[in-house]
Amino acid sequence: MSRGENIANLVTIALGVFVAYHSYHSLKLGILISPGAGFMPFLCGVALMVLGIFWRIQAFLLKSSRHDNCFHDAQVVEGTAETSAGLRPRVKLCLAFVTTLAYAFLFERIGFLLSTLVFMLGWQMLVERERWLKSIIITALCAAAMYTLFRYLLRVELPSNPLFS
Amino acid sequence: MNIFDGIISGFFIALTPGNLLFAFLGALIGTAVGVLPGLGPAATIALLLPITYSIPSPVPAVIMMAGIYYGAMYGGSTTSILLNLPGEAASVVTCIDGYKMAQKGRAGPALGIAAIGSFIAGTVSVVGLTLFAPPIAEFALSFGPPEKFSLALLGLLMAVTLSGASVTKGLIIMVLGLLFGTVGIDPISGKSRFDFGVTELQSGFDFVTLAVGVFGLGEIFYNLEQQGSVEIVTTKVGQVFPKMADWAKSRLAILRGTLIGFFIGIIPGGGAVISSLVSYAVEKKISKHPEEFGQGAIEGVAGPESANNAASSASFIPLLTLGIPGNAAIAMIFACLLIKGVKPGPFLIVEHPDVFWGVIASMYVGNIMLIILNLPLVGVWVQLLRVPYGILAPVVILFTAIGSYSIANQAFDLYALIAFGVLGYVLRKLKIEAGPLPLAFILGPMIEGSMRQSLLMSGGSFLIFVSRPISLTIVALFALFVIGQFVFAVRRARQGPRIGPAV
Repeated sequence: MSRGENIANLVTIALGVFVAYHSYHSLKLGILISPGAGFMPFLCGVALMVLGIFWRIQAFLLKSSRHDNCFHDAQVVEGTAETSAGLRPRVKLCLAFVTTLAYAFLFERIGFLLSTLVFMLGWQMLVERERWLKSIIITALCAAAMYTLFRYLLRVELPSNPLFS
Repeated sequence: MNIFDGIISGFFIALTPGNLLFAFLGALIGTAVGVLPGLGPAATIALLLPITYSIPSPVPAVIMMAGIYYGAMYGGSTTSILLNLPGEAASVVTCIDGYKMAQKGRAGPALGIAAIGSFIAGTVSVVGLTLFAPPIAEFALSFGPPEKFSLALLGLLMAVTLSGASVTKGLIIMVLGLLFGTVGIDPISGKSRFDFGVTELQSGFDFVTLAVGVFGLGEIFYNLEQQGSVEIVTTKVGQVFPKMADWAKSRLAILRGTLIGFFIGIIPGGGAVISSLVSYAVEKKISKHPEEFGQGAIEGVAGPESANNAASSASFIPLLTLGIPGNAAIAMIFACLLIKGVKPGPFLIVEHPDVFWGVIASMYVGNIMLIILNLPLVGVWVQLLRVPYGILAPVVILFTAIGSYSIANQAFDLYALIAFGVLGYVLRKLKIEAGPLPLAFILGPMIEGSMRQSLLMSGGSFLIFVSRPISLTIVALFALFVIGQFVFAVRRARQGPRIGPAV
């Protein structure tokens, strides 16, 4: 079980415990002839717990059957190499995530057009590391195209800047 | 209305200028999506779901979505053959012999036979859909809550076990989907579940937000982390129409691929990916020259490409007749129907014959459009790969954001979208199939509702699921399926782990 899988497994089991407890305690299970609001979530919580534990046992059995396998060692070495080579893409991913989060934060606050301009410019400059001029051109073209498509062609209600409206 | 009258009325609907335009748009977008790696049909349909709010009638909306789905199967073969890069999962197997053919200067016949095979299989499969769907829908009319519960659960579990490598992880994702479906006010007791004091959560998560988050945003985040860029092809395509010798070798492979694809496509979870793998394995097994497979055998392209197209059309059967979506892309079309106020299932043919027959007839038209779009314009499609990912990725994110926001005009959905995007990224990273998540989310309320109704009918006894003949048959089928899976797993474990490709 890799580190990521280990965390995912623990989250699954913890989520199962929380859901089952919350469903039993707060939502109530009801009676079989008339199940309450917590009945289905309780079943889901129990299923998550059981499956999470089963996943862990499966991984443990697989590991013990493979512990002397040289193929496994090769995979570990390969994994290490991938991590060190993947440093730059990870920074790119983090920047993309922050830019998207900022877009969600600004969307209603400064309106669609302005937030889209900020997002596209941020993406081109931070994530893609493009030059100023190229970034500005791409940003302007994309924002204009998106605005025309959604505002005028598809007639989607989009938030406008509170200062201008 | 009998089948003949139905399909004639369907053609009258599908051939109106507006619907032709939407079928064309679907075929066009589908081919583009199939060509572009990293953006599958499920993600694209999810991205375009909010647009369906702007389309006044359900018929053109579903016609377009269906076009995207089966169009992607055509487009997927192009990059597999020319670049050894599958545009979408169902074309992975086409890389093996298709790319070898291209290396030997036979890219044209490979692309040609893929498109022709797809056309034949797609059309034959739609004929099957036309003939089989009405009687199945009529039979399903007699289903009560216990049958609906058993069927939905069987469909879901089959989709889980067939779609991914790990059944345990697939089941966890399925349960997670069911759990997301319970968020919000319980329709029976009126109690709010898992809202944690957030008002926006009382109406539950929206399907579009979940789907575009997991499949659209998650895919973008995942691809950003991947190194390497796509090389532009320099392979000469040449004559795309196959020669008589190629045709003679391929015709039976196309026929077998069509049949395999059709029957696997009907099974929930079967779909295009499995059918293409099965078809390749069958072709290799029965070939007199199995050593040619992997070296550029045209049957290795014709069979799987026919199978994936047949399967994509056949997977509409459980959706249109039973209301059970068999895979993620079909779940998106299910959502599209719900958005337009149409409930998929046995009553569809009676209550909305225009949708039922219009969509089926549009598939015949769409297949003709696709062969025209794909054969002469193959060079144009390859140029699509020149679009830099640095522009494509933020534009897709803008689509997902605007799409999610436009449903309820609330910024909360944007945060939910990002959360689902992170979930989608984590699933991709852990190599866990995300397909069961939207399926379970969309079927969850139906499963819960029919389970509670069944228990009420039986006075609280679970025996109701095995005391009615149809429900018992479904449960028995499920038991057989589980036993079969168990036997298969034990046999595989005894044979030891296999290292290397499965085909």
